[in-house]
Amino acid sequence: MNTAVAKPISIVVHADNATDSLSKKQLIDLYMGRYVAFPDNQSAQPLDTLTPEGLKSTFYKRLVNMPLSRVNAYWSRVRFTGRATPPETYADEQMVLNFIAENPNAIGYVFSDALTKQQKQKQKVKVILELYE
Amino acid sequence: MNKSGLLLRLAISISFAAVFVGFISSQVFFKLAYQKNLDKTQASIEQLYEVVAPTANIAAYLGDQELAKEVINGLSNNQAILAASFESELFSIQSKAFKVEPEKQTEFMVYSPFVPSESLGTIKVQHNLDYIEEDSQNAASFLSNSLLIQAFVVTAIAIFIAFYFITKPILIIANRLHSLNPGTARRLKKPVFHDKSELGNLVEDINLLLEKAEEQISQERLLRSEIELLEKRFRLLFENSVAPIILMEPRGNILLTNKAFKSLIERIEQPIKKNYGPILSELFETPELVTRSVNSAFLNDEIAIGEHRLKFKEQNKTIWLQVVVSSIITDDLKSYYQITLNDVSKKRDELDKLSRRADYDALTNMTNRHAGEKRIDQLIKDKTPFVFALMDLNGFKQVNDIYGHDAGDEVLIFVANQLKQLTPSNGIACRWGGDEFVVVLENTNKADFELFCEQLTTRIVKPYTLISHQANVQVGLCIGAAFYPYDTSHKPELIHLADKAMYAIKPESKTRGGRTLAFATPTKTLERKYE
Repeated sequence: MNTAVAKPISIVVHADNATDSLSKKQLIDLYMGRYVAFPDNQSAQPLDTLTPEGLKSTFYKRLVNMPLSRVNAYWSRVRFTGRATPPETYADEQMVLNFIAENPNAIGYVFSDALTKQQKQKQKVKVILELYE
Repeated sequence: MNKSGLLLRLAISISFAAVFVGFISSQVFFKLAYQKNLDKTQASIEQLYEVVAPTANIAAYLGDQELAKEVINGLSNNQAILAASFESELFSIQSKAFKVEPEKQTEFMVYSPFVPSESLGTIKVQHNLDYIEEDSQNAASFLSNSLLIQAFVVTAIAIFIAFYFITKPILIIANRLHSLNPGTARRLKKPVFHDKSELGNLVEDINLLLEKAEEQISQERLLRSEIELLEKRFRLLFENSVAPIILMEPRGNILLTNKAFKSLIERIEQPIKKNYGPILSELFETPELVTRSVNSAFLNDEIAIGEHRLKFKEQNKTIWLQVVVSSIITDDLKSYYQITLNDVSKKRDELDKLSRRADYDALTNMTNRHAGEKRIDQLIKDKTPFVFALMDLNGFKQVNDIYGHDAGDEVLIFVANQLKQLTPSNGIACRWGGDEFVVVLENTNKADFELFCEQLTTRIVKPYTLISHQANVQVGLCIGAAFYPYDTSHKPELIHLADKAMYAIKPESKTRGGRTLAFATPTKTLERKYE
């Protein structure tokens, strides 16, 4: 876990996505359901992943400084009014990357070390933000 | 209950105090409770906001009006909150009762749930002051009600205590005191449970006072009885005084008189009056003299004593009163006269009789020789001319010898009466001794005197019927006369000359038709002078 916690996390979008970089605040607004579009008004579909272990919790810890339980609580409260919906969840990093490679609207996160240059090119994704410890 | 009785006063005082204290304390309590409620409300609103803050943050973050409404409703449902509003970039919500110019409101900033530094809007909470006031009032009125009940209970207890421990014992003491006469040996009893209390001390003090009063009253009684005795004696003295005693004001108003004065007034047939003039002067023959003599005595600081005649005459006799007047000045500077009257008529009578005895002949009640000579001395002193006539009865010795001395006395009285009747008022007729009489007439001459002697002789030589013997007797008369100052200016010589003249014709006078009057011869006078 310690190693997972220390690893940087990359935020990735489709390579054709007009957005080249995002601020942390913009990322929060997308992931917490405030906005449903990128800054250039292209609609956005944020994705969550269950594995590898520690990725999701580390991501939210670095993003909004909250444990997953609180993030879940937030969503359970918000979902009640139907105003916003939580990100779609995928089983692992690769499935997330694959979905992004095929959807220019998607946005996801992976441990940075899971991305090789080759992979980036082959998969047609790009990193627009990295979150560190 | 007595209107100003202790209990009522106590009840009223305590009630007023209780109501006053209750009123003030409820006011103060209301202020305090209000302030406390304000603080409490502030705190509870803050607490409440703490609860709704995450929801509010989310609502503002997402621009979720439904969620925001929930927050506002949740806030407005609280009793302490009148209304609330939620303003953010995306929406503005107000509850119904929201006021533009609220009395008191609290503002909360709404932040992003994920970026605490990012402010997303404000929530305004308006406090329900009416509720706070009502709540405070309820609390205060509860307090004042409890105070009222407490006051009522305390008053009742205080009255009860006051009645049983103060009023009732006082009433008992007062009743006993009321029925108690000072000066007797009766004393007050201490009320039960009050042996050492202030009431007990009061009873002790009262008893001490009663003791003193008894002592004093008994002393005063003794003194009073002494004074009464004394007064009785004085009254006895005053009322039974034989001398009339009068107390009056200087102007004559009578203040006090005794029986003797009343009987005097009755005796002199005067009406009973309050005023008989100053010093009773109206009653006297010489009122001015009375007042004058009294005033002059008072001027000399003396008691005025004088003898004055009353106007009234009793059986033609003058009543003489000794009037003793003393001036009394009382402590309050009022002036009174005390007048004592003494009937001195008898003394006066006796004095008169005494002087009569000295000057008059007891048998004939005419001037005697001693008084006659005194009057002759007076005439000589005044150098009044007069004739001195010495007369001697003829035949008197025989009447005496035959009929006794009573008859002789009767004859002497008869002769004396004739002399008295004939002698003018300015003349002197006196019994010289034995059967000798003297007549002195002022300012007369021989002729007039001869006429007088003729008349006299005529009357005397008339036969006289003795009352004691029913018998007629007859006496004769022989007169010798000398003139002053013609014959001599010396009394002894005058008497001698008259005597000599009379004896010269004595034998002749006894004869029928003989001379009965002879004048003194001056030549012989000269001779006598040389003897």
